[in-house]
Amino acid sequence: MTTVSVRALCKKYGRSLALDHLDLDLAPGVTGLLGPHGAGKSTLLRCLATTLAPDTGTVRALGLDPADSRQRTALRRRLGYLPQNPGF
Amino acid sequence: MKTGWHLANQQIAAYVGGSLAPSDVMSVEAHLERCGECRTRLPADEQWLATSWTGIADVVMRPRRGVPERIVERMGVPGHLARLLVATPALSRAWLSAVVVVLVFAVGATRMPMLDAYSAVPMTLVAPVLPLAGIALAYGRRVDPAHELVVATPYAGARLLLVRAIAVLVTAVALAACTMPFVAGPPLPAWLLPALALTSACLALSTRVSVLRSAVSLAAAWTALVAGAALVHWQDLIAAHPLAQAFYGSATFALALVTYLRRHRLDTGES
Ligand SMILES: [Zn+2]
Repeated sequence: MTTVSVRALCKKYGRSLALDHLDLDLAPGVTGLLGPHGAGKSTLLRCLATTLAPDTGTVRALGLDPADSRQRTALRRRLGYLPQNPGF
Repeated sequence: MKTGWHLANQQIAAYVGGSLAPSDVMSVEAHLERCGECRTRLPADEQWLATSWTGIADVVMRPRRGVPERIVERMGVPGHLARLLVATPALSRAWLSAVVVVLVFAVGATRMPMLDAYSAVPMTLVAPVLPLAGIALAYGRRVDPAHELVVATPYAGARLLLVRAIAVLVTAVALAACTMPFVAGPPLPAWLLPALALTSACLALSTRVSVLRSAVSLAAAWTALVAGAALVHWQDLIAAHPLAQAFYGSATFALALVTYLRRHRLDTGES
């Protein structure tokens, strides 16, 4: 069983490529994401948390597609997200 | 303790009964802190402990709700929406005081004898810009420190922007209406429909550019329009004229429709 499934995910900020055709499958349980600064960890998390739309590629979280507005709202109902800089 | 020394039965009985001298209580408690064995010999009311703990946890862990949140909830707004509303950065004390200061200056300007010919200009200029300034500060990555959290909630996007924009608009219009006894004019102020039209335009434009940018450019455009009209003595044509009012009324409706049709573009999760 997979909870998160990512295919060929791409995201650019201006000219810098944050995610380059990323494929990823996650199983239930705790997953740690390790990588150097600028590796695209936050970008990937933001795509999964529905706060950032990818340029190309697909994301499925709990079987829901964040690119579809109805499924995105359904996903947000089940999502817990604490960003790196929550701001307060 | 590993020494093998433990509290005597009568010591424990006196401690529980409350008949120990204060210095003895301290040494007994010092031992109890380190010795699990003696702690288990202490009679304890498990149920009392459990209910006390729940009671304390309830008080300590409960998120504190401020006065504005309770007022909004009292007005019949559901709890989750009240929380998102009072978290609107624009509805802060700073913004409200700024609105009041600007309005006081505007009223002062209308009453200056040398500006007599332009007495309608200050409120026409200021009142529609105030809700724009509020909306600019109500929603977006650059103005809301909790924005990244907020956009991951089911309420994110058009619904939350709309709810916050309406809250800001109602507040700004209510404060501006408080100036009416001090400004001579028709019973229904000429700035009301321009304020609605500009708010509507701001939401519609936000489907293309950021809320901040759309509010700032519309405020600049309105200021230029009113100031330009005042220079050529057309100030009444801009706001008070029936044709102008009809234009603002229909623009409000049309731009609200545009916003509704393009509402999905207001969600950051949208590609
Ligand atoms: Zn002991």
